Amino acid sequence: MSSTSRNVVALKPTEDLLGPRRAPWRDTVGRILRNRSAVVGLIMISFMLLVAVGADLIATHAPNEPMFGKPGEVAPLPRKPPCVPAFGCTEPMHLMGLDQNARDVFSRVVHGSRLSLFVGITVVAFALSVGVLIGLVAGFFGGWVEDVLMRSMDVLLAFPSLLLAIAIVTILGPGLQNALLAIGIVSVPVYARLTRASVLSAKEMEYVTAGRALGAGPMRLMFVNILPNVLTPLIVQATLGVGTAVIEAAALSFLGLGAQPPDPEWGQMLSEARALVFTAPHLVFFPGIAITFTVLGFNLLGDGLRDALDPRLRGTN
Amino acid sequence: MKKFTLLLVLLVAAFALPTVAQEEELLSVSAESCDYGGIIKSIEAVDSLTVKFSLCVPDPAFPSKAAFSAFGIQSSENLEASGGAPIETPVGTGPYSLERWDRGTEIVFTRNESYWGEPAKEGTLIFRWNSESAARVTELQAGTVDGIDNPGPADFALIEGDPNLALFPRDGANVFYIGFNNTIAPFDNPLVRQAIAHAIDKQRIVDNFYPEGSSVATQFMPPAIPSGYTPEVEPFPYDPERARELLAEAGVTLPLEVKLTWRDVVRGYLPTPGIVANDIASQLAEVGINVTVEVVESGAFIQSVQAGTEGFYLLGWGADYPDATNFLDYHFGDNTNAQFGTKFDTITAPLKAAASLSDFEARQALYVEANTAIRDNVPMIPVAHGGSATAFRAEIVGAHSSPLSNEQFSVVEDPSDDVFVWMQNGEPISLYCADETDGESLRACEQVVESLLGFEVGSTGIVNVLAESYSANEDLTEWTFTLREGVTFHDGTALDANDVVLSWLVQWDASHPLHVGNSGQFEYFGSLFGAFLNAPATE
Repeated sequence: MSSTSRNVVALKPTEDLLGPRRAPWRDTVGRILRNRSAVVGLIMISFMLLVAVGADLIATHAPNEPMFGKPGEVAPLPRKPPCVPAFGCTEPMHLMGLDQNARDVFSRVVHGSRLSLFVGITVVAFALSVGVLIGLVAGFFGGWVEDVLMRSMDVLLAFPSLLLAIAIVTILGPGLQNALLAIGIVSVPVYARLTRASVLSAKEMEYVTAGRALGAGPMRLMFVNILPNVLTPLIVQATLGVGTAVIEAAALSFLGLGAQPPDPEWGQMLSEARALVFTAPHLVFFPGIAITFTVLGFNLLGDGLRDALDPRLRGTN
Repeated sequence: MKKFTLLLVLLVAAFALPTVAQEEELLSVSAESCDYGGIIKSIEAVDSLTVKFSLCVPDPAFPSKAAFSAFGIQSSENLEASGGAPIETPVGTGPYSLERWDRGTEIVFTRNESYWGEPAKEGTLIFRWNSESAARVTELQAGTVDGIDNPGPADFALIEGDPNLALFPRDGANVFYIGFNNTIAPFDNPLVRQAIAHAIDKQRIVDNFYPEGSSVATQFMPPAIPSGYTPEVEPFPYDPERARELLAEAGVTLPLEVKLTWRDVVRGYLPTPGIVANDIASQLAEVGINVTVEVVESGAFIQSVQAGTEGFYLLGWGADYPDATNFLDYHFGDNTNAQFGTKFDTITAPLKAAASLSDFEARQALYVEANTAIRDNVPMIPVAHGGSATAFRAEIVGAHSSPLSNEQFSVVEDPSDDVFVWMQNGEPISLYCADETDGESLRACEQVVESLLGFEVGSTGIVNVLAESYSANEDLTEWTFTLREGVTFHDGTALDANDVVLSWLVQWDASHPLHVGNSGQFEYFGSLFGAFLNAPATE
């Protein structure tokens, strides 16, 4: 503690001379924080993360527990509209009403945030690690290696992504894990192509040539010299990718191929209530809003990150 | 392959001699032996107005089957002219005849002016369809249709509150059950099955997820069908405490992990399958059974259930004809498929005995025995009899609903004009109902084609239609029908015994040149009479 403060004092004269020295990451964080959409996105995502982590505390009921026979409940229970005591409702509180199985929609939406964020992050982590590896190898080695890898990525890209995911789930069988894998596989080509494009320009840079001249092996060149310098567009793409993954998981669940009942997955909730859209709109409204909110958050953050990190857009805010 | 010969005394009727009062050759067909697997031995035209059916085994339900619209009598000339597939050209004896069928739009029927009985009240009957229940109700409110089938459960209150509309609830002649296969663990343990029977709160399911007019099932037979329904057999009560005790007694480790399969198909017995599946899962969670709910594609699901590979599943049954054999024997008899696993002798024995009796009281006593054994062995848990309804404009006279969904529109009158417009769920598949199983098709056929017997309007009672009278021998193996005199088909030809024999024969004899139909399956004949004559070998 004391040594730190002494250092600061000692540096003061230099600072006065050269202006404040800032680490590159602080520069970046500063740019991100000055970007309004990035900040809004960050707040929305932080909110969803908080909800997901604290779901057990926030939810008023267990997500899969029907309200039949609970004290104070007045029949008929299925599809009961929202009941908020603050607005004069005298029955037990259900902020978002009850669903067709008389379960508390609010608790289900809250617990659903865990599933959706888990899906989004897992899928992107999977797609990112596989895609980056493929793109790095293809871009660095070129030649037939590149041809084989990138043409197979082109084949994957030739299918509409959701259709391909459906095909994969059909083979693997329905279920959240298989849906994760399917969406992950479908997202790989995006990262592979992005990585390869960046690698192609990065590997001609002087520092790579210097590294090679110093006798660095391909592994070191790829992972130590090139990779850190192509990360920026990947971070942007990955952020946007989480939003896409959340939507695709919801779509698969909506089709009955993703999460299975009684999991409170948002797409699954929409699917179960789709026939009731006119009689009980709250059953599709709240999960729909939750999906929109989460995806919008990731999209805003992704856009903001791109604006903040892309040198070509710098200053055009 | 076993080979059967057909003793076919078939000579073409002498149409070419109109001036000579010549007796038509009488059609008569019999199986060489009963080994072919079916229950019909022979069908004979005894004289021009008498038909005799001989059976291999006693069948007290034969009149119920003969009343079923799949066995409607078609004009022989028309059967031949259409090559055995009068799909869009049914020619029967009914109160209405088909005028035209605009595929995708509507079917128009015209009054049969030379009908043998009470003529139809309206000059024109129109069938339309819409798969959305909300759309059907809207059309009824707007007055563009006069009657609709199956208003959505949510619209029942709306129709009852509207003075211009009238609702006719339909008793559920059906049953929704939770099936077990007693060869698949843990359902091979009777205590586990009993525990689940005690853990299901049927009242909660019916109250919350079924429309008005539905009832809790105490047994497999619905009360709408008197034969086989035995109110003295009490079901296991809902008692989660007892369920936990039974599970403990069964020695299973809790939580017990099981898989419940279902198909996403809406039926009268199960109007909201996914919701009910979820609720069953959450009910069982309370006694320590963790249920994974899995939806299976309908066709694959039925196949898998019948092959005995589903341990725990949701299924139901709707009446084809109002008799215990259609429910109990079809599911728990000797020759049924493997859906419940190993058969129970205590169930099959009384069923077999009852099936060959004609005395109602004596049969009921055996059904008490069978239903008690079904309850105690729990091959399935009966949950609900699903109700539905029809709705009509209030001024329509003679409006009704039928427990068998065979509403008859000849008795329905619209005082404001000479047209009655009916809107149902779907378009008929074809109008040759010998080869259809779909209720939307059957109802349309029933306006045009009649069977030997029929059902009372809005009830399951059996009445004489084309048969003026019928009788059976002592052991119920020979059924003789005397036809009404002077009945003519819509094409002007007179009904005689040969028409009856041919209409049955083209279904029965798989090698008959007119055994064509729409798909050629003749599903109902096969399931109600066991097997087809001269059926191609299935390798």
